Amino acid sequence: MRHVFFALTLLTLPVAAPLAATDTAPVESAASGTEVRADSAELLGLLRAEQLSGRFREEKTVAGFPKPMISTGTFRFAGSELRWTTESPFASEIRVSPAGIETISGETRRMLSAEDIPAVGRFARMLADFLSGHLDAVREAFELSAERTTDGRIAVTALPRSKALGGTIREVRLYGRTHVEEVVLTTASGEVSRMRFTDVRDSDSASSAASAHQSI
Amino acid sequence: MKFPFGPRSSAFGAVLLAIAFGAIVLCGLSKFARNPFDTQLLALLPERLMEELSPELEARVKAKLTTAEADRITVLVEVPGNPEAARIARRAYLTSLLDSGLFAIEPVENADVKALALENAAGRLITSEDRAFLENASSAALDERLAATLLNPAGPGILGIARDPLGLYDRWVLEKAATLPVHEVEDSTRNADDTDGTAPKTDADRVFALRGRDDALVVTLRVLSGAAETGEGRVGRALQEARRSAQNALRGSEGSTSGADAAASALRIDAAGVPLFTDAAATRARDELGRIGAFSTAGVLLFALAFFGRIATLVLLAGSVAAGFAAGLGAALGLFDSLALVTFVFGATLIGVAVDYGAHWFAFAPSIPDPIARRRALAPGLLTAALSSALAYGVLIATPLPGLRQMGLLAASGLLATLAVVLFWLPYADRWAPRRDTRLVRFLETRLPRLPRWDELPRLGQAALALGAVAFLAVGAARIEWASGIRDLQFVPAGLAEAQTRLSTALRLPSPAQIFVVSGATEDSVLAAEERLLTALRADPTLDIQPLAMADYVPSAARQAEDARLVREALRRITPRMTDVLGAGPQLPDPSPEAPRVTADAVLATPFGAALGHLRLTSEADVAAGVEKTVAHLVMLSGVRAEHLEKLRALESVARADGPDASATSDIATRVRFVNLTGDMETILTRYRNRVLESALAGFGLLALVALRIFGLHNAWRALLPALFGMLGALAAFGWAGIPVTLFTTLAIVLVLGLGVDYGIFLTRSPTDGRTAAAVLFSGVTTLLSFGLLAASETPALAAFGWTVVYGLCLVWTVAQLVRPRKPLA
Repeated sequence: MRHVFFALTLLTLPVAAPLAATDTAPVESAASGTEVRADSAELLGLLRAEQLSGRFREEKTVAGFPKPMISTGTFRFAGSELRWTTESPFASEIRVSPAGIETISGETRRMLSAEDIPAVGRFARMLADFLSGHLDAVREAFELSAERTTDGRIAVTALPRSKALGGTIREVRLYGRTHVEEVVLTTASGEVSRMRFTDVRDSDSASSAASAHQSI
Repeated sequence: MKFPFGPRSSAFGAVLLAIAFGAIVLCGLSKFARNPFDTQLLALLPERLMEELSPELEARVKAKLTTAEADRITVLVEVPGNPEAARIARRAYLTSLLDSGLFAIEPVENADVKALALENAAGRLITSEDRAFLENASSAALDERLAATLLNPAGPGILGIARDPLGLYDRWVLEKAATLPVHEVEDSTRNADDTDGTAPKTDADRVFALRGRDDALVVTLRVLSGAAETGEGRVGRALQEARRSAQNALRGSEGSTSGADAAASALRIDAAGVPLFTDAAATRARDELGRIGAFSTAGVLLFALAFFGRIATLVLLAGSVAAGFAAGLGAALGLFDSLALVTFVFGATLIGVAVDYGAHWFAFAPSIPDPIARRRALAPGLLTAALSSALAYGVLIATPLPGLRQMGLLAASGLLATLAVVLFWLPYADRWAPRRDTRLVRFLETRLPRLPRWDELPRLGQAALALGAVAFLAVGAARIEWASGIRDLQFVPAGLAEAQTRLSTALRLPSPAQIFVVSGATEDSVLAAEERLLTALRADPTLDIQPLAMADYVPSAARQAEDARLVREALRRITPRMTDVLGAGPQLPDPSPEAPRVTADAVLATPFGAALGHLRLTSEADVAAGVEKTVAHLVMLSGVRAEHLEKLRALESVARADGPDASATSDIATRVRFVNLTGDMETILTRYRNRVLESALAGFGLLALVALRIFGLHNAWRALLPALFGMLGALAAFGWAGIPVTLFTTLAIVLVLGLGVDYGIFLTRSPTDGRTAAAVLFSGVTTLLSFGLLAASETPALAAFGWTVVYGLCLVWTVAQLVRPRKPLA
């Protein structure tokens, strides 16, 4: 029986720090509800896309190292699957789907399965939701606010509701006009990851037209 | 023979007895108030089981094995193919249990990543797969691994990129998590009452499922203190109520009636855990105490009323037994800290024997009206009978089973105390003794002497009877099955045993009966021995056993140094690439022997400690403090089967150090011992079963010498044959019935011997005296009414005891009547 108790205890461990932290339990002080001001709600809906592809440039500070890691490559989001193909400094591909997160780097393949660790599934969904602007879906875990910046972009700030999530992610900021163009993720330890998207093709309208045609 | 108890000494004796009884009962009562009946079945088990261990280590092992999970139950809620329904059923089941007020949910702490970031784990805790990878990895492969770690958005980075750029420790932690049979899953039913999804997630909201079985959910609960021990079956009823709630929830939740019924009928709930066994055992013991005790008392009293015809006589009889029983209970409680409830149940049967003394006393009242004269006449016979019975029970005191020792002491002291009451107090209450014989006594007095005798049978009848008896004994003896009776100690409801087996298999629960104990002078020598043991165990493909060992979580110093060297070399090779990307290289682990390493204390302080704490029996701190002589760990095993046992024992030698180890300079050698608790218990029970049987035969030999002296060569057999045939015949009857003969059968055989010799001697000495024959019959019937009723017990050990007495005493009485002489011996 002790084995079971052990299991229950160990399975709650944040084996992947950002993963387990996606627990949706709110911080009491932050549990002010999920009401979003009407103008914010309108803005939040504007970044939504069903399909998205383009290039990315990520600049990530890593604790204990003097210079940030800069990686570039392409990304493609369709349905609920995100492919993140890094070209530099390493050739690598990450596939994020509800089934989990798979990392392919040359011969090295690593799969974190959502079936084994539910937090992986939650994290994968959250990642995909942020990048595709499906912000309604992340509202359970994050307190959202949106505003227009002086250059006409929409700026969304997402603050974690739960203590557990707050222990890992301090803040997520999104910027964009018709889709997400930039994501800035700040971890609790102060590491910052800034992702900029270029050559973005939003095939949302084409996809909607296609599905409308099919339904006729 | 001059009898010492005259009228003057009688009064003195009565007063002395009153003082002694008062002191004993008061002493027992004070202990009983502090520590009532012990319902734990362990109270019945031998104190020393693991003879290969020192007593101190054995005590530690038993404490770890028995107390760790004593208050927990585990439940598996399944609706095959319907995860949604399983969640609904689980929620309703859990809510019902928590509402009962008998259970508390085990809190599951949200450990943060800092708790896992072991100070010296970098390069020292790696999986065997990674060890093999690093031994042969090319630079390209190392770069790929570095990329996978740096770019993975879900990279745990428990130790940070600088200390663990290849994610080796993350993979080690994930590997440990992946070995677990259960994992946390989503709860689709959680938001049913929580429309905005913001309600705090409680422990009850966290759902755990069997790995790969989303439709089989696991719940772990703690039973609140004392809830299972009441004997009222509250825990069992609460589980049944919760089961109904789960079924009702499914019926109410599904849209269509057929779907609801299908889900409700597919629902399967298995619950297991020590409290459920305790609850079942306490309930059964309480029921049996009422049932067997009431039937026994009522039967004996009714028969006694028919025998003596006076209510006042009955009150005195009951009073003498009650006083004797109270004194016996006081003595047993005084010598033992607490009594097993089963001891008390057994003690209730004592009434059947103890009542004989009062019965004899009153049976002779019409023929010997003067109480002092009657006492002179009866005391020698009664004393002989009481001492022989007490000696028969005394065999129980010599057994290694605490529960049986208590029974023996309670019975022996209770019988002698009752006799003291009869001899010293009843003479002062003689005005309530019967003044004339009842119709039953007159009937028995005239009819019993007319029963057929062996000597009066025709030759052909004698031959046929002898042949029949020999055939009965021979065939029965040939069919006897011998068993240890290890599983007879407790009654386990079939459903509970099945649920326990299912849960043990599904959750790969470690066996509490088969373990390795590894001991040595230092923690490191113990860990090194464990590593050898685990390597040998995993090398044998036929041993499909999952071990749980400290060494899997805390490698030995040598292995840590070796791994640190391997990792250091790999990190050195990726340093240029890391410098290129991040401007600096990683921190390299120090493989030198002086470098700080991962210690057992450090690992036990992490969330892993919850799983591993019970594996550490003694530590270096205990040895340094002088509390213990050796450091010792347990290695627990799950999936052990009978065919594994030999090979597991053989691993003891494989796991010994091949060369000098840390303990080589010490006086204390590193030892690996396989402990098979079930096997050890079987061995001990079998050994004592044989010893008890040998004692009974030896006792019979001694009695034979006495009988030869009293009755001479030609008639001694008449006094001895009833007991001999009673013993052998009872064993043969078990052979005929196909019930294995166990320690508990042989213990009853001793009782059959004691009572059988009494009857044989009485009837051989007074073969034509109807009053003696009636008294013997009275004794036999009351004994059967009490001991025979034990056959109705659901505890196999007690039932075996009861059946042996039923078979044995019926044969004893029949043979004693048959072989009695035609006339009194000269």
